[in-house]
Amino acid sequence: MSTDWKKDWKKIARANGLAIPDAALERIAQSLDALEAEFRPLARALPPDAEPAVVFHADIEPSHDRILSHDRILSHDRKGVEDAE
Amino acid sequence: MTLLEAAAALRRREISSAELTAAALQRIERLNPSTNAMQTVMAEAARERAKQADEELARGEGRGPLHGIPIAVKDLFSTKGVRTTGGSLLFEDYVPDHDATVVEWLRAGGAVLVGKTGMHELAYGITSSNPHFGAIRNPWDRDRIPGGSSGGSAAAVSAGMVAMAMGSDTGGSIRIPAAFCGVVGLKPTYGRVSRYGVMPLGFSLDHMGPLTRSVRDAGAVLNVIAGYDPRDETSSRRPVENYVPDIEPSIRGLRIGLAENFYFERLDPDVDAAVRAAFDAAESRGAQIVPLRVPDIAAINTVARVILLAEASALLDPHLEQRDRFGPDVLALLDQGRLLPATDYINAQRLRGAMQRGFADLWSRVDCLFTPTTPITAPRIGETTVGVPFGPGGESEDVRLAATRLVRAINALGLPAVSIPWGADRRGLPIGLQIVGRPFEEALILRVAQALVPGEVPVPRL
Repeated sequence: MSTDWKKDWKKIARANGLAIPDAALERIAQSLDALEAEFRPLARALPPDAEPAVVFHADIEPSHDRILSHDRILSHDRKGVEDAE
Repeated sequence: MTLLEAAAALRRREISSAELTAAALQRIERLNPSTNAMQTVMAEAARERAKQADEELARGEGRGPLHGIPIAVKDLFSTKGVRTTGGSLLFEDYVPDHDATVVEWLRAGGAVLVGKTGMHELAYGITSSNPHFGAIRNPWDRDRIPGGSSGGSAAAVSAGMVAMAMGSDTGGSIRIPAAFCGVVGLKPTYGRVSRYGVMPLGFSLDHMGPLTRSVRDAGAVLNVIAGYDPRDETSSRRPVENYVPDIEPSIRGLRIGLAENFYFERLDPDVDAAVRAAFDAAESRGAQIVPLRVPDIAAINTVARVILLAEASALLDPHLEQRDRFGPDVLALLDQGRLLPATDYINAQRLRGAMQRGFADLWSRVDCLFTPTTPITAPRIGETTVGVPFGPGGESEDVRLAATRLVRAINALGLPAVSIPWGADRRGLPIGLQIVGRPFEEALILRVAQALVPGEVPVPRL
């Protein structure tokens, strides 16, 4: 299969509803094209039975607190503000 | 003075924790204006904690080698009641109501937390030139970067503010600053040290570890922070061991891998010469050098970059409407991650599993690998590309890609690795030697590191 085409990152951003300015897209396009050129042949060569390294465990123990997410940090922030008010 | 030397002096009552803490705070006061290593100084809390530590020690209630020792943690470890910014404007007012597991366990071990170290914004970069909180400067040459993202931790340890500072490493962020600042930086195996309470960047790549002024200090800290934590789903239940190597350990008969491909390509000649000399040093101590070809590290780097771009952008996606709250380099990476399709992330994780199995075969032939930590020494602040005088016709390479080139893959593989100072370049800037081991063989790589660097690392005159 030919690999000499390039993705149109501006169209992809618009199709995904991402508010990334055109100037920012132009700055990152070269990096994305380079990454694409390195990654695409690797992905294409994957055997069908290759499982992802991140797997779901159905038997996981119930857990109290999870790793912090940025959302949780900011919701904690908001709670702190509300408490103060 | 190293952490373990200070601990011994405390036990002999030659010095008190209050005196050690006062000395640390004085040094921070003197050197922080020119290095910007510390983001937050907790002077009052530290003095109080040191006083308690002295009282406990006087009662014979010793908690181990960290008891009464002033330390610092990178400003992405949650600290109860103390601001934790992650180097970001998003979290400039965030004050956690809990400690990260690592902080909790360090405190339980008696350590005296004197402050939080500065870092690259959101741990997403290697310069530590933070657009919001100022550039951190390398104690060896303050016109140069300390590396990152744990740049403040490396600078604080190198400058002698503290004997140990915690860092995090998603694509080299402990080992790169350790190399650029001439200190020891240990990235343990994925799952060996809890990630709970640490601001994430790439949750399947993030590792926590210490930066210290001796190899044995790194082992002593790992003894405290390693172990199973149910609050981190990826935490390992594998038993911990004693990670502090003997003062003069034997490495006789150990097989040390010398990569014939990738790791010695496109290096600064000074780095190349220094690291090659490490093989001679190990051989003179009875180790066996095994030349070999390593799996495709460039491909693993590519896979790791796809995974990190996707994970970091997924984590920060809710905040990306506030574009003015991010520095330009971090925003550019976050934008890139948003444009990758989900299939790329899944395929990168599929490739990662296959590459992990490929790399596992290597461990039947060697016990550890020696590589340079970085192909270059510390660049100047503001440099975005570095000259590669060793390439045909003189090439240039993006500073971030150059600095992460020899370390990033090890995060994707989850392997333990330590960077130790190993010589200096023609300008006197430190060079790092990376020692990579099998999963959960931190004790072995620290033993090899100790055999090569048995005492305190060389420190800059400040």
